[in-house]
Amino acid sequence: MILLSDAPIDPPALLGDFAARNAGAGAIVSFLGQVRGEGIDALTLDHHPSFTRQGIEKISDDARARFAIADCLIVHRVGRLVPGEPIVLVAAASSHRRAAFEAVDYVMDRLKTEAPLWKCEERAGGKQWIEARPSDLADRARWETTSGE
Amino acid sequence: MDLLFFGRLAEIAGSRGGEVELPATVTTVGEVRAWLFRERPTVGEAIAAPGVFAVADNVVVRDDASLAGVRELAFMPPVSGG
Repeated sequence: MILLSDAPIDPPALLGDFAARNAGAGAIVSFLGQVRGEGIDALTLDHHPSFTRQGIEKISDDARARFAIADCLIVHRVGRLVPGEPIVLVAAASSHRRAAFEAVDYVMDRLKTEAPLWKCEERAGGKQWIEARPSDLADRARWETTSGE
Repeated sequence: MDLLFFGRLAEIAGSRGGEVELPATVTTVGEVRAWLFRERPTVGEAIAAPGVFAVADNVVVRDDASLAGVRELAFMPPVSGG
């Protein structure tokens, strides 16, 4: 399930629903990303409703094809967020834990570099649009050389 | 056709954009770029920056793509990721 939301997300409720939908799975792994402080007053994420969703769906589909997972949840905030707010929640359900751990790691690396989102940081000195960081691109590249199985 | 801008391009354009009446001579994505450069030089220059890509009805397209039947053309800067 893919959810793009401009309202605050509720990780415990979303994970509870995901676990209930995958009651037969032996393992559920989740990752919660929060807006970092580091001098940022706020972070605004711009998106295109259908193109961004389509890009994130492709990442989810690729994860499901690559790893032995039964289900994948990707919830991403858009709009304006302040430090400490949940910005992304990714979860995977599988029979055995390894596939779910790897799938979540993979989805996050791809989201960080490929998701059609545009971030603008607000700091005391003004606003700045940012692009994917070199370290994120390096993390993404890890999956080009491993089988993922 | 709707002509939309995202990320810093929307900020430079002053809005998300909206419906535009293109001259009959503007029939490709590249011609929209050239038209914007003439009509709104600041926006035209911004979409000429490296990495800015065009999306026609949710499909990434090159400059030689035709606008026939296109309902929405969006210009997007390099993505930030999630």
